[in-house]
This record gives sequence, structure tokens and C-alpha cells, in this order.
Amino acid sequence: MHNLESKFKEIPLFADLLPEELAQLMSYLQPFSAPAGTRIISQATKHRGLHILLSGSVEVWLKIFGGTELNIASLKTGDIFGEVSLLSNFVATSSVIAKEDVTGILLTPNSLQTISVIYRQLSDKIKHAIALRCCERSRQLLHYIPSKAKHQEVWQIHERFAEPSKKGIDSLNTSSLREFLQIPGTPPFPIPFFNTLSQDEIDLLSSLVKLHVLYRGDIIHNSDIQGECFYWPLWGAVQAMVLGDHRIKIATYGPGEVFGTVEYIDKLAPAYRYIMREDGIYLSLNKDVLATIKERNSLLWDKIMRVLWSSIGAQMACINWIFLQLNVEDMYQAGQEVDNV
Amino acid sequence: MCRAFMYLGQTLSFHDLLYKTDASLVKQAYDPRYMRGIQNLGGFGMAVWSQQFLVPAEPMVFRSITLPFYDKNLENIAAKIKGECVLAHVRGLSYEGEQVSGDNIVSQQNVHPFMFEGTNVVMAHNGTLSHLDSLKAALSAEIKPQYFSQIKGSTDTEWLYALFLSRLPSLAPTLREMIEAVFESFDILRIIRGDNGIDFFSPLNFFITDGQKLIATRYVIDYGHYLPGILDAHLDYHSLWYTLGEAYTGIDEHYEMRGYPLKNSIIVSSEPLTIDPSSWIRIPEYSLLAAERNGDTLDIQMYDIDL
Repeated sequence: MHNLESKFKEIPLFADLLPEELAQLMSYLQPFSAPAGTRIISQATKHRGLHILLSGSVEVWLKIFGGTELNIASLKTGDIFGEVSLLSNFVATSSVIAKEDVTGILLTPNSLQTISVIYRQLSDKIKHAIALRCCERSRQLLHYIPSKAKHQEVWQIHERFAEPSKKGIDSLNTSSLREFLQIPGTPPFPIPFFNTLSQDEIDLLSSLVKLHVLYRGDIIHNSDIQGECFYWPLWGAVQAMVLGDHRIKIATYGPGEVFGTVEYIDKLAPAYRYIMREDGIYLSLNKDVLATIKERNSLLWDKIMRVLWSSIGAQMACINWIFLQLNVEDMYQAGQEVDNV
Repeated sequence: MCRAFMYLGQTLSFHDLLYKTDASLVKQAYDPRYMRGIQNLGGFGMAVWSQQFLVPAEPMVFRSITLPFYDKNLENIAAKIKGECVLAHVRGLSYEGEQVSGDNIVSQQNVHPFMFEGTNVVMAHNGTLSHLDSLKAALSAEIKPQYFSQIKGSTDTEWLYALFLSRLPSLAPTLREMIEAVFESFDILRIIRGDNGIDFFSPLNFFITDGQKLIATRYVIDYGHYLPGILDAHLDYHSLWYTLGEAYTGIDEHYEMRGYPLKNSIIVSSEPLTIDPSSWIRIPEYSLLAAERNGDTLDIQMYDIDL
């Protein structure tokens, strides 16, 4: 086991763990082995967890649209794969095949859940490290997407959408989360997160944050977010885009689906734009507020961080999907706007 | 709610798409994988265009409230015909216990796709227009009399279809005219909903074809504005996927579109027709996909819906 711990120290993902944390982690790991040729992970199937290679090597294969399989990486002793499964339950976006006989250890989502109950700090460190790695990988993938920004397209949309569209939004317009949640017919019914909060937690959150109204066509630039805050729609919808030769739609977020989390933890995140597709009520959480919550109610902080990490895993999966489809040029002719019809 | 797919391309037997793929449309009637909390048991319908028909430009329209997985007539028909275009749909509707709720009546008149007399343009819909009753007066003013008189059922889709047809400048519209008619219809819906104080979630995934060209939309008006008691099936942005290539074929029970980057055939579907989605492309939210024959190939275009 001591030998295993020393090998772990060499893995960047675990480099920040203290010796006692490494010792705690060891008992939750499962050994795995596979003969050469084994498909350890199959694309589009459920992940088994984070795999850490202790001997042998594997190849990562990506089946892209049209059926072509690309060998995108070779991994050797000390490398890891399958880590996104610890943040979200998305299906695997590539296959991993043993090139030689391999042995290694596996950290499953269930084990990490158990660790989070017993050793919360350890679990937080692991999740944070994985989230950062996901952000790095997202950046690598987005590097392949043409990066010549066409800001003008976005601003044309903004002008077209400049007027608030809803009459009803004013009736929801309050800066107090507590008041908002008490308005009949508003969330939390579609947002599981708020259903899990105690009254004390809602009161604490309400005392620390204010709600914002954003209107259809409003845009949040990632430079407004970078490292500062992330957003939580309570009402309405927003779409994330990357601006390249064509606008690429990454994902749409409705009530309860946080956005801006990648930029929040990764200062090098690419140039996302968040375009409000509908008028909405948004809660933003910044670093100071989160620090206060952590200090005053660690359970609430846990719940919020779980949502944050999960959203990073989900965004990573979305970007993977787009990468798989990159060779379908039609997908990216979204630049042909309605104006051109 | 509902599931649908459209195919446009080389001559194909539709039996496999309806029954044999591991997530075929008939299987989606009772086991949809990309929607929650509801099944699609309110009827099956399809419109098929085939060069083998007496009048190839006119589709054969089949609509039935018999559950498609028990419908031997449908299976027999599907096994015998080939065609170049099909729009097929299974209807999902809400239910409370054993009672079908509200206007969600199971009847042949309400089964998609819809095709009115005087046009070969056919439409099906995945979604729902909330508060239809409150909008009928305003909608009526936007619908041409010849189409208004053909509304026979109680479903929102028939009204949406009539609204769309009323925006077409001719009985044989171009693709551009069809796209403009869709955008104009969405625009009108936004305006009359606003005038009537309605700003709640209404998914408008349209499937429209005339056998030579097709349009599909992935669009939800007022996404994120929910009503109390909203169905789980309505919480997510309704899905839409497509696959593109030379021909859709099954080899050893493994079905997929093969031969890309040739663009001879396209399937647009509410969800992939196979459990493995790796040969399918997710159409982004707020998008319209249009395809049109150009000789043996297809011209494919994607538009942003930013009304």
C-alpha cells in the first residue's frame, strides 16, 4: 500500500492530497485488470468511474459522426481516465481499449459518495481537481473549433432583442430570494435543489444574495464572470455559445441549471457568451458569498458545490458532443441567420 | 410529448425504422428514452411518399388510434411499401389515473400527421401550445377560411398546422417560403400569447414535409416559465436529433446511416432510433433544420430561431 501511495503522489490529480488523505482514499479504491484488447470503457455507455493505470497502456478511441474511429490518445502508467463520471452521470464520450495487459485501480461514483460523507474535505479536493481537469480538457477540445470570433453577429441579436418581452415578469420582480420563492406559481417546484433546502438555509441564502432580472437578448460575457461568480436561473432560459467562424451553441439552461461555473473555476476558459433567450430571474453567487456560506452553514455549501461540480461535468459532456460532430459542417451553419432567409 | 421522425432520401423500406431498430418509433411509443413520465399511446400516424404509388406526389396517409405495437395491419403495410419520404408520429398525451385530462381526447381526428385538402404539405408536432382555448379567437383571425373549416379535432397541433398553412403564399411552396411561414407562425404566436397574458412554456418542435423537402424545429416559446403542476415530460427542452449519409442500413442488426459525407438521405427524429446515439447529431435548442432534394443529394441548412 505504501508503494501505491507513493505512485499516487506522482499523479497530478492527487498531488495536493495530504498523506493522511491519501491513506483515507486507499481503502475506497478497487483493483481492476484487463488483458490486451479489452474494451474497458465503451463510448455511449455508462462510465464505471475514475480509472488509474498502474501498469500497461491503453488507447482512447473516439467514434465520430460518419462512423470513423479516431485514436486520440495513448495512456500509460500513472495516467487516468473516466474521471468525468465522478462529476456527472453522462455516458462515456469515447472508448478506452487496453493496448497491453493492464492493471489499475478504480474509484467509483458510489465510493466517492461514501468518501464525501466521511471525509468531506478529501472528497471536495478530488472533485475540485477533477473539475479543473475537465475545464482543461474542454479548452483543449474547443481549441479545435475555429476561433475567429464574429462578435458582430451577437450584437445584432442583442439589438433585435433589446426590448423586454414579457409583461408578466414584473410580477415576479423582487430582489429577495425568500420573497420570490413565496410567490404562488414560481419555483421551487421545478428546481429540486430548492426543495432540499431547510428554511434556515433559504433564510441564509436570501440574506446574502440578491436576484437580478435579465431580459431576452441580454448577454453575459464570460469576462464578467471569470473567477468571480456563477449564475443560477430561477425563471427563464439562457443559451451558452462559443463564437468562432460560426456561432456554436453549447447548451441551454433553464431553472435550476447553473451556468458560468467553468469560468468560475477556470480563468483560462474560452470565450463563452450567455444569451438570454427568455426574460428571467437569476441568482448569482460570488466567491465572497460562497466563503460566508461555507463558514456559516457547511451543509448548504456542500449542496451548492455539488451542483457546481455536476454542471462542469455536464458542460464537459456537451463540448465532447460538439467535438464529435465537428466534421458535420452543416451543423455549424448557424451563422446563416434568420435575416438571410 | 409525442415522438416523431421524418425521412427524406433514397428509396427505403420503413419497416425497420418503425419496428426493428433498438429504439424504433414503435418502441418509443411505450419506452421513450429522451422524455420523462409519459408514454405515447394516443395514436400512430404516418404520411408516405413513394415513386411506386399511382400519384407519387401525393402521400399515403395512415392514422390510427390502435396501439402500433399491436397493430398487425400497420406492420403488414410497413413491410410491403418502400418510399423516398415519410413522416411518422406517435401521440403522447397527459393522463390522470385512468382518465385522459382536459382536451386530450384520443380520437382519429387528433392523430398526427395532419394534411388538409388542397395541399401536399404535411405536419406533425412534438410539444404543446399552452392555453389553446384562450388563444383560439386570436388564432382564428390568422387562419385562412379554407383551412379553418378543416379543423376537425381538438388538438393544438391542428390549429398550429392551419396557422402555418395560412402563411404559405401558394399551394406548392418553395423551401424558403415554408421556412418563412414557420418563423411568421412563431412570431404570431409570441404576439398573441403576449396580448393574452400567456407566457408559459410551450414546446414547438415541428415536423413538416411535402415529400421533396422537410423542415424540423427545436424551439420552446417561454422555456423556463413553468406552470404549477407541470409534467416532468415538459421540464426538459424537447429533444431533436438527425443523422445524414448515403443510406440508412442495418448490418447484423446494427442500424446506422452509412456513407457520410455523401448526403443522399436524412432522418430527423425526436430521439435517435438506436440506443447508441453516436451516429446521430443533436440539433441545438432554438434551431431550425431544413433539407431539400437537389438531384440525388440533399441540401441541408440550419438556422437560428431568434425571434
